Amino acid sequence: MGVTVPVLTYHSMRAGHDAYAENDHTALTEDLELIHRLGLRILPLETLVEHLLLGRLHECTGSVCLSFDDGPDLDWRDIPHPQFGLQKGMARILREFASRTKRADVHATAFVIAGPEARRTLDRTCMLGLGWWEDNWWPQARQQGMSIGNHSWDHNHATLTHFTPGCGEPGSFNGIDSYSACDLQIRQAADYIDTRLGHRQCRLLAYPFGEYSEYLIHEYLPHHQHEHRQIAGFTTAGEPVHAHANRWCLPRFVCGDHWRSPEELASILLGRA
Amino acid sequence: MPGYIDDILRMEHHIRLTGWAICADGAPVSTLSVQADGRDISGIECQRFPRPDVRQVFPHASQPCGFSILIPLTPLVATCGQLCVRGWDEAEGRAFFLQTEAAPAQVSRERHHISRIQVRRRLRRRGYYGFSTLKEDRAHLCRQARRPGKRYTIKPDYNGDLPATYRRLHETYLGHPDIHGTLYLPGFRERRHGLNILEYVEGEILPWSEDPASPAYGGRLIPPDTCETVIHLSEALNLLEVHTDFYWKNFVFRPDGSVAIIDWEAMEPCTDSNERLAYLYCLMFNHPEWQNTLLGMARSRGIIQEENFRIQLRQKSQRFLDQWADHPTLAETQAGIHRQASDHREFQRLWKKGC
Repeated sequence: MGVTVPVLTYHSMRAGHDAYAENDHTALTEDLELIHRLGLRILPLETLVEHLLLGRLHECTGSVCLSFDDGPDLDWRDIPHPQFGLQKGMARILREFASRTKRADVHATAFVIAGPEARRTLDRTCMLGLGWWEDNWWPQARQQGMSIGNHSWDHNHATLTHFTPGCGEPGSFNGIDSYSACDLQIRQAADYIDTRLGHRQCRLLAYPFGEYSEYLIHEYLPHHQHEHRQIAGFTTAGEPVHAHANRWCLPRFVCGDHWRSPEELASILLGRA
Repeated sequence: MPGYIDDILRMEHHIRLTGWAICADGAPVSTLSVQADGRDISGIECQRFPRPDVRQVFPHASQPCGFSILIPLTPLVATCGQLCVRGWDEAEGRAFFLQTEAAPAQVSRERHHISRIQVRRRLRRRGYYGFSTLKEDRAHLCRQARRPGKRYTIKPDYNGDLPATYRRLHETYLGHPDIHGTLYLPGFRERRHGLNILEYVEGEILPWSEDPASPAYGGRLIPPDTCETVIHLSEALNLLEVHTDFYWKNFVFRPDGSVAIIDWEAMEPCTDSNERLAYLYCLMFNHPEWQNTLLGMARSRGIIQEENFRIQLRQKSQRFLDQWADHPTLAETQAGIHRQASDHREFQRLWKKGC
């Protein structure tokens, strides 16, 4: 298969118990140490995509990419959990690791849900309703090197109270299969994120639930790029990115699904998974 | 400002764009540059060469009107949504843009080539010209959409239950001098359905639904003085083997009584004039003299073929028959046409009327 690059995904909402398999903050802390021990470079996702599109993926040999999904405040700031105590933000975990190891290449992309109303609802239905799903940290995160990516307008999440007509069955992204639905979920989200961050800052897309429709990857994304401005889309297919991968469905590994221990991750990083 | 990017060749470290462009007065374009998503790309070289095929279509074109531009394959170029060639038209004193059909990354997946274009011929000085793609061997119609000083139109009868959408689209696009290209309407579920924005057309459009109870229905649809226009158009379309969405929703009745055809969509499969003429024939059901005029004009120009027309007439009348099943009077008219198209002897009588 030639050169492959694994992209790792964490959900900072998975916090609470300290066990590796149940807490993505703990997992990220240990995984960074493993990546360091294995001598792997941490590459920005955007750089990986550029190398892929330029046909130079071989220059990414020995690299790994990091991403966070959904975009709760836990991606950026520490949060005192009423039950489990202080939860370190993912960004702080990265900073501490970089400082300890003197590495300059520590980087991650946070794929955020753009719609303010959707985030407010999901904050109540998926977390504790304490206002942990804001967008005021995006500009600061961007300035300090974390990339902000597109995780759709409202995730078409099953717990939303107002469903968008034409977006198919809630709880799945497979139903986003028309121009209007794609325009709303992808282009509108990119516009919103860019208004917070600046022109053309949001260039990467991660599909909610890792799901996508044929229309989305074969019609909308390739043929309306001047509208949505995204350059690649990421799934959760549990494979590394290889040189012939379709830019609109690049695979990622998800912590808790594809690996549950440092040993399992080591197998993935060493290409033995 | 005619021109086209014929070919994009992606190499390991470079991209070569090949095409042609001429100014409005036929002179070669003075300066050419490349933009990726609106940002200038520094070219490595730009070569000019003669294009005899373009000269055949545009005899006034000075040579050399062909170009070949080499640009570096940078991350910006590799990830951009659209490359375009920007030129300066000395005659009109303005810039113009030739756009690629696909981003470089897409191009590379298709063996580095988008369609190579063969220009067929220009049509009646109306700015239309036909081209076919060698790869697909399909013919298309193209028209320069960028025309400063003109107003542009969208199809205003789309989905009449969304007045707010219309208002927003009209406010946004109508009267804007620089709008061009293809507009994708929000809410439209069909795949890749776009409307080419060409020019503003003053006029009235018949109601959306094919409701025979509508007062606009029937006699007003194709009055005799517009027959000529429709025939001309049908002939032209047939000549170029192109298709447009040829039905009454896309006829704009101008105040002077002429008919403008809107909603031109390139890249559609071709249909022949027999189908279009059969459709019009059915709609003229309450005006036999118009039907005969239509048939006569079509026959005299040789754009109609007897057996194909009969088959199309049979299919179209059946469609209207089904559609108007709840309106016995109207259905009866279509049943009559259907009978004529189904019976060879009856059809011969109909056919001879057009002589």
